[in-house]
Amino acid sequence: MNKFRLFIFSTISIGILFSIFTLTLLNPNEKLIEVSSFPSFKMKELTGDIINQDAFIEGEYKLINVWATWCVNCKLEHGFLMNLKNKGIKIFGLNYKDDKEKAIRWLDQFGNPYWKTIYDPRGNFGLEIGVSGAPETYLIDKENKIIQKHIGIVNENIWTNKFIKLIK
Amino acid sequence: MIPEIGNFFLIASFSVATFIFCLATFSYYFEREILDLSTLIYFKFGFVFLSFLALEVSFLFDDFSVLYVASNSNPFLPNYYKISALWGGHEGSMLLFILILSLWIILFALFSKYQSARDKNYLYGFTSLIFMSFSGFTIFTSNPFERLLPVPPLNGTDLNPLLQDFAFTIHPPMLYLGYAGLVIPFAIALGRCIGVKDAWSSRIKKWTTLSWSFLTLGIALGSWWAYYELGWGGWWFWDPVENSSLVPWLIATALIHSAIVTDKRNIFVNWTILLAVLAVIGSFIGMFLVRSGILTSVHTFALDPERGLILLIITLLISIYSFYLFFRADTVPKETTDYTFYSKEFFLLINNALLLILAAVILFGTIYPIIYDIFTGGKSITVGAPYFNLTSVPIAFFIAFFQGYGILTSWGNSKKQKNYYLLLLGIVFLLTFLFTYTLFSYPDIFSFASYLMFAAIISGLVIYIFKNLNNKNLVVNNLGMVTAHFGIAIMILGIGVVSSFSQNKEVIIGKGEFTNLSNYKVKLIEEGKEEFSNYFSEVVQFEVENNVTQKKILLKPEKSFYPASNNVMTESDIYIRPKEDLYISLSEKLESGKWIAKIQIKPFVRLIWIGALIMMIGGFLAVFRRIKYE
Repeated sequence: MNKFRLFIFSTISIGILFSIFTLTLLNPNEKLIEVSSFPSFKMKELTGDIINQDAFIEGEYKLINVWATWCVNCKLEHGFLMNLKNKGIKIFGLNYKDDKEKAIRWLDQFGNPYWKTIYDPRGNFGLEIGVSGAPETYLIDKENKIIQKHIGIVNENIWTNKFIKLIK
Repeated sequence: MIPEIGNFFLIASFSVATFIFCLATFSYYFEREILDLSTLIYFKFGFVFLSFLALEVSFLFDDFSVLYVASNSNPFLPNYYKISALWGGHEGSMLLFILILSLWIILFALFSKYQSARDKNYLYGFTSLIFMSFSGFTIFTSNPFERLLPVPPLNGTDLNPLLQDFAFTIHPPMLYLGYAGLVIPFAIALGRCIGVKDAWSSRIKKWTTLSWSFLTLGIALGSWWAYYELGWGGWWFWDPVENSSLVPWLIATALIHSAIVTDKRNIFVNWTILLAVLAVIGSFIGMFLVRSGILTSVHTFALDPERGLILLIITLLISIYSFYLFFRADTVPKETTDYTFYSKEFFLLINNALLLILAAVILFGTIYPIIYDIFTGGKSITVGAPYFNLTSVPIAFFIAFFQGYGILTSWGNSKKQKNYYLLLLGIVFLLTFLFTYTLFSYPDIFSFASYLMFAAIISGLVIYIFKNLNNKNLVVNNLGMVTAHFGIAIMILGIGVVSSFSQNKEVIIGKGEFTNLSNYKVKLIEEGKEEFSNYFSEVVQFEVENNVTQKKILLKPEKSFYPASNNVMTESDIYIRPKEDLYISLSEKLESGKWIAKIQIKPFVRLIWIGALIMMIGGFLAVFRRIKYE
């Protein structure tokens, strides 16, 4: 094979490869999660009160944020959640596989962005809604259906792109 | 303070590399003599090394105000793992990568003598281009020295428990030694494009072989680690990360052989240059695939598409730059050399083409899920072992044949017909083997193919050695090649045996109960809990009795819980015998108190890694013989 043909051939194949990668990166087929109803449940809050599905009032959007004191990224996310709270957004916390005392102390020390915090020490409730780790954030619509899920830290950028546009 | 010093030196090394690249480019285009840049190369290495030390110190002193330390280490981690935790995540492993890259450049500066300092400066320029791109990438997008202020966490998180393991602590450095080493032949090849011809092909051969050896070791370590740590009992999973290390390895293998031909006969010049460029691009694409998060795999780094985009742009620019240099290079050889159908050149050409096709097929399978995503929009699919086995085994089969009998051919336009009888001899040997073997047992087509491959390579080697018995120098000079080829044969044999004679059994077993598999009686005798500095684990003791020798042995597979990161992991235990491994791993504890355990027997599985080790030794032998020879 002469040089020119080698050159053309390799340029084209590398070019195709890169276009595929770029397409995937720029257009990350926002895999909309399958819409699923929020399961009915009966759990305890961090405060010890009983909480069940009635806390999720129909007709308004809700966020559920999975967090724990052992998770460094939750600490990083915390500031943004406080901003959301100050904007008047109702966030339910899901304290995941954590220690109650530590969790309460954590909220006292850094501030509590949550409307209510569900206490899930063994991760059973998390399993039902599909939690894989912390932090994770779920958006629940007016009919109490989970319409969005984000794994990792929520920041301004993700909030605008993944959440705001779903809230009507 | 220390992290800031580290950051300072990292930026300093980036600046030095940028300076070297600009100066070398300037010197080339304006044809000016400049000073010898070697001194700057040493400075650059010194700066990265200090930066690396600064991060190590932050790890050792549990400085959790550094974000990277806080997310990869905790106070209870033993010091040894604190040191290796540095390359447990994305940012730190990038720092390790550029440290190793600058180490290779130093070695190159020390051991390669060039006639004119200017020529060598150009090569420093090319290596610095790569160094500059990756140190810049580290500083601007994944800086390991980023602070977590004002309130640092008290305990940090745990290093991923899977990574708290000896093989892991040396697996990434070896792999990076391989990847980064490929930058040297890349620079030499680009140097050839702009007219630096000092022994370029033999240098490419030498440096590629050296980094290829490290890459082989790195991949083998990864496979060994997956075998005993992941607890699935497999040794290769066709995982995207594994594939993205295999692709550069295949290209580097092709490059070594192509450089041999170029060195000897001054043909395949374009091939050699192109392969040197592709090897580097291939390893960067691998790095991109692993770190951008567009593919999911068992090795997940921090997933960040933005970071991936920048990595992609860097790789793209480097490709455009090197293709441009390749395009305008004057690489037409003065005299054309002829070779016939039955010549070493032809066999090597075929093998190179097949190696490249194999690399392409594996790359295609790896990225197929994202191609599928683009065209259908949604519904992720996974391409599993069936695709890879079905496509790679036949190609590997032909490679083995050309490899086995290729070494019996001679160079050039030789009409030495006497070589044909060797090929005939080899085929007779093979047919005998085939016939005898099929007579006794026939497992399945894949393992059968691997036995044939083994036989082809070994018979080729045996005939080669016999043929050259009166020409000892030739065999001694090619000892590295013979060893490496022998290594791959051993590895193929291991793969064949393991895939045809493995046995496994999944059982529900309680205290005092037993089960039989092959010649072994496995009995659960005790359960217990153990606590360690950073985790606690449930240990189940099995007594394994060999029915033939009546020998008894205890195996203790574990299931460990790491509170700092809230991770659970299982660790299998392996009864290692020369002939086979008995492998027990725990999966779940049932509510009744019984365990679900998986018991597997893996005959001769060690041959796979022994083969890889022999290949690596062969590579080193080849390189160090050449250094002595020079």
